[in-house]
Amino acid sequence: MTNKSFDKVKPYLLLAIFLLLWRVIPAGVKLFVDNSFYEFQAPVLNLGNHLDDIKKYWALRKSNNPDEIKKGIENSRISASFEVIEHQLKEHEDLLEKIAQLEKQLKLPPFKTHRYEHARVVHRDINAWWQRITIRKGRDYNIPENAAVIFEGGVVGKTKIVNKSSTIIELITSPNFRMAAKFKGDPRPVTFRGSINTGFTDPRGNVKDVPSDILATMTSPQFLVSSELGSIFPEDLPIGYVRGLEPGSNGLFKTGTVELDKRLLYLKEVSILIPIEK
Amino acid sequence: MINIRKILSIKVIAVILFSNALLFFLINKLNHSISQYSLYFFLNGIYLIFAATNIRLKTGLFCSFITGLFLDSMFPYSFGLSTVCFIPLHFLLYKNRYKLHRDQNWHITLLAFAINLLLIAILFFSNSNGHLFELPYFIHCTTDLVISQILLILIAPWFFDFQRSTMQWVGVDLSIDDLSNT
Repeated sequence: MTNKSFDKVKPYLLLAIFLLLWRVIPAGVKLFVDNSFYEFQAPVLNLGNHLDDIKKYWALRKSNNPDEIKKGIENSRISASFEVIEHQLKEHEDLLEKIAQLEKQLKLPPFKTHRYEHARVVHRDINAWWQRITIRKGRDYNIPENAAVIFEGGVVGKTKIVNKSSTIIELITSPNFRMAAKFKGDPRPVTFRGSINTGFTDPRGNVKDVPSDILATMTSPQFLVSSELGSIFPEDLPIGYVRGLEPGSNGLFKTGTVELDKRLLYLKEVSILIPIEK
Repeated sequence: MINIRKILSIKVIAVILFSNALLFFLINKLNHSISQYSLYFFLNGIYLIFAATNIRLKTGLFCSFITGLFLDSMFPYSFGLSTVCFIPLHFLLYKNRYKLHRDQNWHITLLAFAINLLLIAILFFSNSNGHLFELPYFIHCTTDLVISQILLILIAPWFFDFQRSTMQWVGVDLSIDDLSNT
């Protein structure tokens, strides 16, 4: 009889114990479990991306078009010559690094502050709650947290979580993303913030703290670029266009919508700007 | 006897976790492909249905717990949200599972539909980041909710059949009392 009544309350008892345990487990343990689970499955995400690469490679290999083969040979020759140039560039970069070190010793402003780390996008995660991408490189390529990420169209976002072989990047379109910016040709800083985009629309963001004398219209839009005030992004990286500004809630500054690059929603490759000091 | 039960439990856990992981990566791939339309499929509700309605308590609970931790590590919301939601829901489903027609897919599909709706609602309120009363947030969430629920109705029957078939394939008979009872 006692056993039967215990069986009835057993699930509730277990639930209560679980909820209590979850409450008292230290944050460090939860973080460890979080990281362990992520690192455990991360290679599977990368594997899918590698398989895509192999698929493309074999599709090209199977091509019987002689023109394509000819072009391929030409490309390989060009890439071979590029390798030589790359080697020379590497030497050049080493020399520049030495110059930078000497400049630092002499307290001169640095000439080159960042190096590029190119990476393939493994996964895009874009919704109303979070907007982020995962790339195929992580701590194994010395990628730091909070590093600027760019592509040919301008700012992509910043690195948020760096794992062993992957990095999660918070996109500039994310509602949680903020950065210091400025308008091209105007040194005064403004604040850029990502915004929520509805389905089937181009990515957008918001700009605020815009000085009241700045005008932006449909016919003469303002071009928003990065500012190094936030100490993450270098100067003058493209962000987007502002085609209208309206007075903010305090009346002193203006706010507006920023039209971002459409390609941000289907990025395939990005570059991480790694400060040379790091 | 104990050994047979243990082996069966391990097989059940393996099948449930494998099928959940497989579906998760397929949906991830789909989300990756449709990112340019700013659309997103959220189907977390589907993962705990089979374990809660067909497997005995401890084994099923373990599967839901591991699946919850796995989902928590994959999503940027506060760690534990899925796990903490999954465990009470698992108990709730488990206690009422004899009222369900578990052999009929449409019945458990409707259940998955309701659970997924609940999980999206929890996410809607818990992860709004101060945008709760903004129209674009509401529109985006509603769009994602609608497409997610449509996809769920389409794939849930296949997914439950897949789990059932895989169980049979590895030699687990779900109708055996040893396995389905606490």
